[in-house]
Amino acid sequence: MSDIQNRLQQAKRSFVTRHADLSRCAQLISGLPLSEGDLVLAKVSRRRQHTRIELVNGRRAHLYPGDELILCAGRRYATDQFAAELPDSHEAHLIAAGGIAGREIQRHAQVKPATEITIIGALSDSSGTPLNLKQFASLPPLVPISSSAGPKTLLVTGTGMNSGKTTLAANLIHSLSRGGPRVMACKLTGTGSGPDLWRFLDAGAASAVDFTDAGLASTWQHPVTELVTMAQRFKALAHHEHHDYLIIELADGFFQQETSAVIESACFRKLIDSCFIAADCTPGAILLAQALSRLGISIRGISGTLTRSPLLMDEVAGATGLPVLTSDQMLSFATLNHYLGSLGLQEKAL
Amino acid sequence: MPEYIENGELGAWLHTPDTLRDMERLLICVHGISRNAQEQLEAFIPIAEAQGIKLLVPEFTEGKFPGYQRLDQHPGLDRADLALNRLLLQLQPDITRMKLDLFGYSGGAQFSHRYALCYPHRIRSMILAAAGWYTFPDPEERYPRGLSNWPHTLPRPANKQQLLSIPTLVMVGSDDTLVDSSLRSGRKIDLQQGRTRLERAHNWFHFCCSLGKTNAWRFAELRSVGHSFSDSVTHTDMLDQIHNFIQQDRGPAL
Repeated sequence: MSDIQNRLQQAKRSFVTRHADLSRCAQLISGLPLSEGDLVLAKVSRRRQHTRIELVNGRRAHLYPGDELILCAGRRYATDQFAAELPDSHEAHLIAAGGIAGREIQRHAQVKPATEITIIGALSDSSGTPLNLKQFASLPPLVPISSSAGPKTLLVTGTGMNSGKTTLAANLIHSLSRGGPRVMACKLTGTGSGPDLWRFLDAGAASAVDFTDAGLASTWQHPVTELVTMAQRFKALAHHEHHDYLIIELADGFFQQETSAVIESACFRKLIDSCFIAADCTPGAILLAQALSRLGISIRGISGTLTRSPLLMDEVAGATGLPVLTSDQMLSFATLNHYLGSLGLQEKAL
Repeated sequence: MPEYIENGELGAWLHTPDTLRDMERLLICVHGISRNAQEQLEAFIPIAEAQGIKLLVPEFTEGKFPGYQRLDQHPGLDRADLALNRLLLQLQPDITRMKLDLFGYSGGAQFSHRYALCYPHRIRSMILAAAGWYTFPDPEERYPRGLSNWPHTLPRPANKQQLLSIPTLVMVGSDDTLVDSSLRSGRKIDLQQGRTRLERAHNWFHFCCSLGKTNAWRFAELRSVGHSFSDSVTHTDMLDQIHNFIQQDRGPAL
């Protein structure tokens, strides 16, 4: 085994790099300026916000100064953590535990500065071409399907980060899959990490994919047309794998640029049959319900962290006339099926 | 000209008057099981024009909404009240400010008063004409005849103050006494509500009035008509009464 391969074997390999074939790495190059998705070897300089890294198998390994990490260059948009751009020098930051190397440009007041790393070099093949996540996309290319074909498709979107979107999506997956259907779940936007995908699988999804399967480390500042095409690829995959439902989760809130643009895309809206909202407050829930309705998107229910408060649930139900559902209600197949109506199953739960 | 709108779930006729004077009001007319939405549309356009308000006439088709009047949920089908709410949100995203004048004839009146029980704060006024039977605001009777055993999937029912604060006009033909297969009958319902639509309208109105102050509640017997929307329109002053009832200034609902 070559020295470089030995070195990579010793390094902590992050989750977002899981599809990469590292045997193609023949050398490290300076790599600057890095492109989004470029694989890099980096060394931990100083532990700050992130003290652990998510490995390929999902285990969150502790970090120590001097640890070598296999990461991916990328951006991050996380309202309760960091805004980060691509690294512009060898001194950079670990800006997501899934394994994103970036350059912190903003942070939430309640988080520490990002963990500091030094980029040793970009992984490249024998010709000096950097290895990039795009070369290892596992998602099949788009095979068009007719607009009437494919699984019933439910969008999960929310008022913002930590409004309960992933919990809502997982509850949907769990209830539906217990009722019999095969459910595929996907995360269309965000920053690459494993926990949401693991959660979808734990909830009963027969398959769970995200943008990292399409070769993206994160989706911030990515062309919206490509994100919409990615959604079409997810739906085509779900169709060809004979899933009955596709759950699509969008990260962040409606005012995040890609989330907003994706939802406003007519091509994207053609893919979805209905929507569930995760909300953390009454004004946010109402504003989002109004925005989605204005775009002609039908809303089957509202859930999220606000459902911890019965008073907030009453406020939102009263203002919108839509069902506001707790996690327990979402987890009841009979209740969920009731609110899914024509998008639900005609038979009672097994 | 009215336009037909539909969102894949529910279709409806929408008429916008030449002069829109109150953007926060919407007159909704709900058909009976004959699904005569267009007939209702034509009948109510003059009222919408005269009052300068929008008119919406939903079509709850037999195939998609077989039990719309009871807010029934059949597995695999959408609930009528939620379908209407989704359509309203799409038509008027700022629905939180909207006030509905809700009219229903026959099955439409059944739908309307049950909708009002679920969403009382949305209703500016309610006109119930010739309902076959009613949900009484009676905690001793089981749903749909009363409030006991209220379905947990429906919004909590209005309390009596909320219900009684809705200006309500109950109408029925003085000859609406035919008991046929379209009228739900049985020992329990006949005993509770009466045998005919005429009796049932009186009994529901008086039951509600017995619960408290109903200053804005009215009852109108339509002279010499049976169970017919078109006869009520052409041979009685039903539309004039409705026009007069809903044009009254209404204070803020509860």
